[in-house]
Amino acid sequence: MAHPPTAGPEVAVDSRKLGVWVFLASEVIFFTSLIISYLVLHNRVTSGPTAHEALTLTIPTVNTMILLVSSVAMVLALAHLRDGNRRACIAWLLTTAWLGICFLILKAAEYSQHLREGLTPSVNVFGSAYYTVTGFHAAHVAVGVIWILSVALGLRRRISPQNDVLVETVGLYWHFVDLVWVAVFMVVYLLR
Amino acid sequence: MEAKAHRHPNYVLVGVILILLTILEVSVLRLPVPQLPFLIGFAVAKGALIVLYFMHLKFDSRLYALLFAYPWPLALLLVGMLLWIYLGFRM
Repeated sequence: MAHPPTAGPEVAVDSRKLGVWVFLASEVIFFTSLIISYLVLHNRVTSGPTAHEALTLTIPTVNTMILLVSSVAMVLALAHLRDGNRRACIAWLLTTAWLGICFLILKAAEYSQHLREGLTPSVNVFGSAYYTVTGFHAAHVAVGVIWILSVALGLRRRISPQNDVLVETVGLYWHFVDLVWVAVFMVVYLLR
Repeated sequence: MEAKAHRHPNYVLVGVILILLTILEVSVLRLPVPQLPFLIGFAVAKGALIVLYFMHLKFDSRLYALLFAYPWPLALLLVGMLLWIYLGFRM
């Protein structure tokens, strides 16, 4: 059966997807609170490193590219599944998970560099806000990697073109994590 | 084959546009122009591409779009309240 990309209320609503969208809506409020708190707090530094002194652009820019490419890999996984190519779907899911792991490794390297330079979560209000925002995002990436791996490996027998909602729901979550990073990258790193 | 009848947007092209926007975002920091409007514009464009094409809101049921849209006014209210508190502290 063909699924031409047409918009409109006639498209079927799946309760599992609906649940994920409700969850993502709550996450919008959660991350908005974190990002706005960061904006309010990050320049109230009285001692210790400031955002401008402590943050560099190299690792975050590479991480942005990694997350964007991982989103393409994720959406290609779903497209291949809908085309009936299950093996390609699993390969793209594993690629997405691998890119997520690369993001986390680079994030850990960035944190390590910050800690060596004296930017700890308790050094000042900027440190607290920075680690809170980026830490919660990284935790979401880690959950996403585990979820993708569980879909790709543990539940691979249940994936079929007729039952693509497992891949679609984890995809929605993953793209949302990418969306949050777009905001975090701009607010934390580019506006520093 | 029936499965071949699926039509998908060009996801790779969307990905390339997102990466180009990121390069522009970083490059604008080196230009002698007001950065904030450009940075917000690029970030909004990237977010819209992700939501519309990767999360399929352009093609999916409008109910999902409605669900995803409803927290944004609340988020803006939150922004206003926090900025009000922040400005209050500074006065």
